[in-house]
Amino acid sequence: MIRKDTLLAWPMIAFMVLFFISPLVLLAGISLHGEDGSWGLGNFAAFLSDPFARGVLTGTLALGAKVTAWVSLAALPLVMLYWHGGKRLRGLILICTLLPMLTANVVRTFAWVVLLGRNGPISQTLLGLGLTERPISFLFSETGLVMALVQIEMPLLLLPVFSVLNRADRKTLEAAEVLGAGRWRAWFSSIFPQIIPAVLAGWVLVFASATTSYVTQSVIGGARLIYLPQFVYREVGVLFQWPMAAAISILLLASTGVIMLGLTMLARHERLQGHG
Amino acid sequence: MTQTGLQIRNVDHSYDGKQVLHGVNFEVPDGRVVALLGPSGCGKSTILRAIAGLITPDRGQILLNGRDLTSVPVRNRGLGMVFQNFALFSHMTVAENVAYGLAHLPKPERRARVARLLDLVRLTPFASRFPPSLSGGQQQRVAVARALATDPAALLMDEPFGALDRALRAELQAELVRMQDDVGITTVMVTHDQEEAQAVAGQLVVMNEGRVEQVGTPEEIYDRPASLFVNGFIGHANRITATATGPGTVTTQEGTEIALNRAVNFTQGSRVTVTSRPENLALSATAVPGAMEARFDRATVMGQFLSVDATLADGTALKAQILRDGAARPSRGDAIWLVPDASRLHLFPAIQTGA
Repeated sequence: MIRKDTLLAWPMIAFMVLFFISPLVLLAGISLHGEDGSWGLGNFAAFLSDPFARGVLTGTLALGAKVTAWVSLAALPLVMLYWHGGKRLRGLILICTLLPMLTANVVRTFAWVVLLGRNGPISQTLLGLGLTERPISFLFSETGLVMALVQIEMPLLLLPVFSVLNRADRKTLEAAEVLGAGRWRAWFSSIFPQIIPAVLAGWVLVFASATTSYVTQSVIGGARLIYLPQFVYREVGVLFQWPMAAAISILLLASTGVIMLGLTMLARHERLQGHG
Repeated sequence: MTQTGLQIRNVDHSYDGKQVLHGVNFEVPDGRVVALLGPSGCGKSTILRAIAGLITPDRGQILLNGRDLTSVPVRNRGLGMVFQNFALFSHMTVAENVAYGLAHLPKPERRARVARLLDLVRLTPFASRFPPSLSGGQQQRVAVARALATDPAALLMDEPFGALDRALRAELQAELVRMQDDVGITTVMVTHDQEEAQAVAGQLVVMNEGRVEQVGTPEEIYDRPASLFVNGFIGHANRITATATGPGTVTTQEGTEIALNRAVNFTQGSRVTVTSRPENLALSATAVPGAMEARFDRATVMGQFLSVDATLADGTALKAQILRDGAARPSRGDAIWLVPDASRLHLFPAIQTGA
């Protein structure tokens, strides 16, 4: 039965079914299609039994984990600065966070190509400081790729955290101080629990977009570094192995999905229910 | 001899160049409850935050049991505080909230103290619940237990009943009074609600625009207000513009001469504002000496009383409260006479802005 109050949602639901759910089902169907015309999990078995392919899968998940970890580390000082900052400083930090998001991902990626190159500012600085004798290129290395992805994905973690800090309850901080807690204990028992759900949400976003950022991975990582998105592209565009490509896509979706599900369930913990 | 209790001496404070406290002075005797009362923005919360150490006042001293707190950091003051919205740690259970200030104690002692406090506020069955799952009244009791757990030298409460609905408020106020009798802790409560202040505190500090207007028991403040502001803020005060015409007489703007039963310190001919509580105005259907002629507007039944609204010829609106039994009910527009109880009138220098 169609309820009256859900009526307005139906066009959106129909759109999602038509252009998102059904292609996904189709993809899952194709992935079960064997080379010899049989149906089964053959493609998955073939992928997972191939050591190179397995390496690409774990490498991709490791890339997501590395980017998420570095983003968290790099974001911490900014979060602290934002928390202690006045109105003006907060505005400035927010603009600096949002500004890169207004440029296309491709543009940001090519900016990083310039920055990471042999004659780029990073190499020149290291050379000038005498830390290296020859110019180094960070292009086509995972270090360079992680650097670029950290900058590109950082707003995804910062924005939800900032929005929580804007309406964070300072009274609990004061309550902790009146009860005799030191600076750090007070902060960690009042403000930190309030931002945890936002941090988990940010991690989900950063992890998901780092593992699937085809453009950045292929431009900065080059042909030497292969992650699942390029692997899928190779199967589709070069080897014309559509069922295999579909199987890899499903695997990518499932592995990031499991991690996202875990983080989301953590955010639903009873202790975090009061916030968020 | 060291003084006990809490003393606030000549405290000044400004925010962004705007002075919000002007030489605030008052005392809280050891073990007593004092309410800071005033309209919003009068500085009462600022003084409470200064006592807690959340702000450092520009000038003045805050002494607790003879010890100057001014330079002691918040966390070393050993005070308990209940915040307006309770400021509970919502990721901690009720028991963990109460135990927060007891981190320095060994575990068995901590557990015993928490159990005793939960018993005091009657929340023992809720020890392992999280605050968001409790009702407002229960959350308030957790906040009180958490504040009392550290055995503070004084308890500070910022609008502790402000977030609760009316019916619950009266119940919790009575509970607080009962608990105060048991614990006997020096308490400062901030409120904008005069009924709440009178229900809980033995001593009121009435503040306005950063200054203490009057300190006294609820009776003293109601019966002998020190200023026109206090007179109007605590209960209703009818204001009548008049001139001092003799050592014991005033003449209203309209020419009614009222003989006071005492001498007043006003130069003859100076403008004064005479105030009267609604219950000190009697109604008369005929002109009698000392009565003011007015136009009857409306009467509202309030239980056994009748609240009468009337207007003087110069436009001054007056309220009278009389016993309903046997009172005549004039109709709208009728002329009536209001007879003030001369012994209960208050005189203040006339306010500059015309009433």
